[in-house]
Amino acid sequence: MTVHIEGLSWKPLQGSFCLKEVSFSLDRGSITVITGSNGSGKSTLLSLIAGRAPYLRGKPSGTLHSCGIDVFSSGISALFPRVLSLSVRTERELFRPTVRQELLFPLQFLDVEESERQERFASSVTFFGLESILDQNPRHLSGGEQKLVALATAFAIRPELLCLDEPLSQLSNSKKALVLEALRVFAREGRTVVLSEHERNVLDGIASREIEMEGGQVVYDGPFRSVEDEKQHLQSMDIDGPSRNTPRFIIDGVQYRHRSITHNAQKKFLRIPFATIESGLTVLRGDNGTGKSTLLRLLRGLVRPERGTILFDGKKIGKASSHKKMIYLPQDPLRFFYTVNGREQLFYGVSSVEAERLIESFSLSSLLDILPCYLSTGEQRRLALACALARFPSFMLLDELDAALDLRWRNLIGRELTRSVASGCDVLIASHSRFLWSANAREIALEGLGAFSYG
Amino acid sequence: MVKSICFCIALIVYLVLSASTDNLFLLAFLSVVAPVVLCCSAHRKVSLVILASLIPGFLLIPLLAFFQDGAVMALRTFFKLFTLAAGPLVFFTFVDASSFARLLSLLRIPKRWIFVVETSLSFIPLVASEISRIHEALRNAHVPVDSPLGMLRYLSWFFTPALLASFQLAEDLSCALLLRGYGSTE
Repeated sequence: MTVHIEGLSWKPLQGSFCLKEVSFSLDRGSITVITGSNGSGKSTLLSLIAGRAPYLRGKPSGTLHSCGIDVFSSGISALFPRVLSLSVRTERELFRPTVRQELLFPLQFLDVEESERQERFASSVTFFGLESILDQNPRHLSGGEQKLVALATAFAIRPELLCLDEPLSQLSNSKKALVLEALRVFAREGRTVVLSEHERNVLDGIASREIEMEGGQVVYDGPFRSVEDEKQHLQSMDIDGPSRNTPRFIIDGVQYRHRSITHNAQKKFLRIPFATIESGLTVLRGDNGTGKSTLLRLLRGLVRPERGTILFDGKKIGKASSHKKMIYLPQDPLRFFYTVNGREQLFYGVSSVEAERLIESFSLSSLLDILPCYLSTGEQRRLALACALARFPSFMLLDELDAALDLRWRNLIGRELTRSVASGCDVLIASHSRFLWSANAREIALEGLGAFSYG
Repeated sequence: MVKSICFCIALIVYLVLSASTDNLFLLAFLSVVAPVVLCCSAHRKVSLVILASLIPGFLLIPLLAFFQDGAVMALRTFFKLFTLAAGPLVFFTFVDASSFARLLSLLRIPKRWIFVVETSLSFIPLVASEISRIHEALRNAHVPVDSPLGMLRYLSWFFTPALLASFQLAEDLSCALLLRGYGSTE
């Protein structure tokens, strides 16, 4: 057995129990998926298995052995290289100045020959196709690329137990297939994988076991329940409005070079000769690193193009503080928050009636007084969207809004967006999930860095 | 590497000069030079916010000196404290952690120590990126922080979230380091 958990409970310093009397064991070479709604305790459980308890601010009870090591009595470094975990916010775990150094860093601590280190490094780079970004700063990469770098590091370490929190979120379909193949290889070598994931349909034929969590307890533990088509459970958005097909954004000859806050600026360009974004719901698609997030930031006015102009309702995009009715929700929802709790931001300058309605609709009452960085990614996303909707925006730019959300919240968010579009708010959403935003949506695909195609 | 060496020499000269002189005009000149040089950097906004956020702290000791020894002493103390912070800030705005690490390895400083210094220095741009994140969130929320005056006006809005985010970032980094084997072997 790689993992053995007996009567595990976890109580955070603030609030009620997050995990209650959880017991199960994981066999060697298995791929287990932990499912459950947002806030059900999946991430906490994964963090505890990986020895992150000292970083969670809470009190554990019960026993937990990972690879035969009692994680509560031994330090986190005692688990290396047998256990490795990647959190949902991988970009915060990348700390070396280049991707090459990031991959080589853990290898220097392995008790293996130098040739073996080089072989692991090379095979990891080749498998994940990282050759072209080896000398780039991992913090300057797109969210999906950062995820691949973190997974490549794990692949190179080859731990006995790999814990992954939402490894497929923010990844394009081709990259998802790559990661799933990596998991298959891992399991074939007798290594154990435990992951949490909301997109169950892609795990068909890969995951052997499913543990469903609800309210901090295990409510199902058995073989993976295949979902033939998750689309059946999603309510399609029925967008209909009189103001469709009116150009809101006109992009003319825009060129933007990525410039980062840290050193070694990337030499990546986003070039868009001419494009229009019309009213209604528009979905922006494209592979990881094609510039979707950059385009949204340009449209919001958070970054300025080197050349060309962007017009919003006929006016040139200027300072970000102008265009009061345009709101942008970043890929990392934490980038949306500037206050120490959600309540302050939600109620700042908005109608309290609408704010109260959104608190009720998004079940936010228990989350409002917590520091946003302590919320789960799904909770952060719900809170951020509520803050945005409370301002009655006329245009919303949404970056990967549906990532890390379960079906219930995806449906609810779909309903809320339908409501907003019906009342005159237009939406441009960058998304990898093809089926969620299909109904009546216009589609734009970003190919390469800036080539547009309409669908 | 040449850039790192040049900046290192310039920093030493700058700090020695500001520490050794009592000439008010020279100190004022040195205090002006640092922000001007920072303005030439690609990361000027964040660097200037960091420098501006330190000013309230620098005013406290000169205020005491003002009541004790008068205005000249107060100004002198302020300029000395300012240059003490501004010099290293300019240095680390232009010289990245890995170049500095290479410079230290040239001086034959043990690898383990270099790693500690390099990782600590890597934390500075990460904190800067956290400040930039909060700045962007404020701009996204239509708070007028585009201009330097607006940034100064809403300085307190940066401070608390940036402080909390820095603690969280430090924890995430230390956790990532330990998970990737740092400290597992000697």
